[in-house]
Amino acid sequence: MTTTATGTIAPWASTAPDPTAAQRAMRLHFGLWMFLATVTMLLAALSSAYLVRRSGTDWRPVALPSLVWWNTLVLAASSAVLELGRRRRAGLGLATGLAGASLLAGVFIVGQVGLWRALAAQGIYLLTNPHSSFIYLLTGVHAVHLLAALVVMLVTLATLGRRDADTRAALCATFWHFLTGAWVYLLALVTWV
Amino acid sequence: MSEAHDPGFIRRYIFSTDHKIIGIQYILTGLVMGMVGGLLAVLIRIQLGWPTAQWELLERLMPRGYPSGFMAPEFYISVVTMHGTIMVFFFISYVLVSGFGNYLVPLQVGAKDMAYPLLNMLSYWFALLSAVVMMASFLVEGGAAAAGWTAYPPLSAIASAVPGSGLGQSIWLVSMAIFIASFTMSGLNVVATIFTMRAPGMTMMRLPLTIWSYFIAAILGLLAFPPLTAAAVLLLFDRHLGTSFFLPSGLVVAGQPLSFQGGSPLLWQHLFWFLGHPEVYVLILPALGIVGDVLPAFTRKPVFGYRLNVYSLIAVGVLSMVVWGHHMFVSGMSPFTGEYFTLATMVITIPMTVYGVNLVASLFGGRMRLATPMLFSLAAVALFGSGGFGGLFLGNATADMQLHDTYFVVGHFHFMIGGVTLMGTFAALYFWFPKMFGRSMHEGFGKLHFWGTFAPFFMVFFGQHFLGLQGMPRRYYAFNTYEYLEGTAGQNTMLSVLVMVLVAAQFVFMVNFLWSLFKGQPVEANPWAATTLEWTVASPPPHGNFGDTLPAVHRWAYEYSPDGTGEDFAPQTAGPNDAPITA
Repeated sequence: MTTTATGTIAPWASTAPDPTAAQRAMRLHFGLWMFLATVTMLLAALSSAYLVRRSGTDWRPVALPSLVWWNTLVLAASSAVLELGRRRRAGLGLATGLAGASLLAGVFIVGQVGLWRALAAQGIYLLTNPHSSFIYLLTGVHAVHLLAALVVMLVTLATLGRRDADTRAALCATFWHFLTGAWVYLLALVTWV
Repeated sequence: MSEAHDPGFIRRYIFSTDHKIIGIQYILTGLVMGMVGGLLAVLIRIQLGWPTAQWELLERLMPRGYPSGFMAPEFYISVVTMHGTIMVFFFISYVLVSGFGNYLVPLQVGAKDMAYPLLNMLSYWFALLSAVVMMASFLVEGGAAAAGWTAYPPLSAIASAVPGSGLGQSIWLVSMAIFIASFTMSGLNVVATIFTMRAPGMTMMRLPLTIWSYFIAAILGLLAFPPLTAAAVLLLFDRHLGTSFFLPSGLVVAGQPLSFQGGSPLLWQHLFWFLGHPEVYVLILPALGIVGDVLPAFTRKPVFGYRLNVYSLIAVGVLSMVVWGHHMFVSGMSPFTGEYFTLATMVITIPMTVYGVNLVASLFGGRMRLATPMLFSLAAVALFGSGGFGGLFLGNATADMQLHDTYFVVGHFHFMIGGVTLMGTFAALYFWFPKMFGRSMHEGFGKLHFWGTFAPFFMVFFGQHFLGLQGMPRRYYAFNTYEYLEGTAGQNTMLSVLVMVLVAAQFVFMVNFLWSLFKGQPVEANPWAATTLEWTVASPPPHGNFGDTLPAVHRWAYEYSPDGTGEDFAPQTAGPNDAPITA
């Protein structure tokens, strides 16, 4: 912090109207975290609906097929690959990290569709009981966010040559890890609560 | 950058990423939507004022809504629903929150533009799309949504319940989803711009109250709207996929039992009001912030208790998230829960009262100049005080049991999120019109508009409080069949006449607005001799706002009549040698 005779000036403040790369990165990260706060509120609201509805007499817990644990592993691996690539560790680069994570994301989404089919094969559909309604709904809501993040990741991969590539990859990673964490949370919710 | 920027007409005025253009786009869209909402109010009041009259002209215009010249009850409830929806989400939100928010935030914090200009443009186009989709619902089979702006299930969840519960309700939900996406983009921009793009020296405690109010409102919007999104998704599942999130068992429509079971309609109410209550602060805080900045410009003295006002805004923001249950006192909630929500509601009145009383105290000892923006600001303060007083009764579970769903509530919220916001909006329009367009609005017509607006507005909604005390319920389309309400017929007719006066006065505004755009008196950079940063640049400000160097800020926004200088005011950019620094 620099202090002037007239007050405190924030470290990012300057009289130049256009931001530096560092300022741009800071602004984008700030915006992303605000956005993640809104997604958190969305999940919190759905969770509270889940808890309220769970007290109904027609609630019959549904056990998820074991495929779900493999899917979770794949998603966690995609987060790890992205992070390693972004930090250029384990012989991975930015491009390989993004590409690897995108590929694993595709596998995860295919796996989730497989999960739905496995449930349906057991005769558990959206309308079977409120727990199954929530399972389909929550996995669907998560998948929609994941697909949006995947599009962003692929765009980042395609535009690596442009400015702020590292920043944009870091933003992707933050969003992606958030969605991995959100999936673990949702899985815990529908499995144990 | 300001130099050599000529992107052509389309990029400059239509698909612009300039926050000023986007702000004006929002304001104009919102004003058009406000006219629609106002005309719907006229239809409501015609019905309530003259429930037995036959209207041939209306039948010719809207044959489905007025079979044989009488208003259909289903049409009435659609009109009420759309009036509320349009005024809350498409008029006040667009003009006051997104419109002036966009226009003022970068200018008043001393930034070149919003933090994410492209996202900003996208937010406007989503907003326009959402408005168009909502208007389209008037034209579909069964007409527009009819479950109120609160869209309570089962009415909103069962397509066969009333005509408006069909396609109209689906379109309502889709439009709201687009609106929420737009509002989220806009809110992200406001928070990020205020937090990360303030000019050098513009500390948080030097921000004008306008900016503080937008800051708190945007955070509230970001945190409160997602639960409505969640609720809307669940409702769409119930409507179209047959789930039972909100629908209990035992429902019967037209003699046919429905297959839903186990759901809770109260769950919707909780999720809705978790948004709904913060949302009223999202709307009213910007009006209060703007009033806090307009008053000092017309009293030539600082706003009273600036720091306390800021702390009050923050406190209101936090508390607004934990009082939603006071909309649900009669929903069968536990008396202990009701007790909590009563207590929380009484607590939130404290910071709001502090803010309101500080606004009144800001008038003492000032050299008051009653120009149009000042008149509207005073009206906002008056409505805030009177409406807030009514809120004390509604926020208290014991009194609310009696008053719930009566016109007391209608009168109360029209004073608050209807009136304070409307007066704040007009104060802002008259105050910043010269900055936006480089010309001032006509003062005489402005005063005529003010008295034509404020006087009938106050009488109408003050009167509705008394209708509520007499037990007149809201949302009913006629009262002539209830013996105990016979005495209200004359009052209702009088209120309807006053609403016609109110609406007629808005034509004065429209003429003044359009005339002043082209023929108004050209103005200099700072026609009101105000202190904030937007008045230091030309009217209208150039693209990029401040040119190649951002302004350095040396003081707060309320340096009016500074000591020992003989000057009337010192702008925020005036250095320590120009005038002593207060804050």
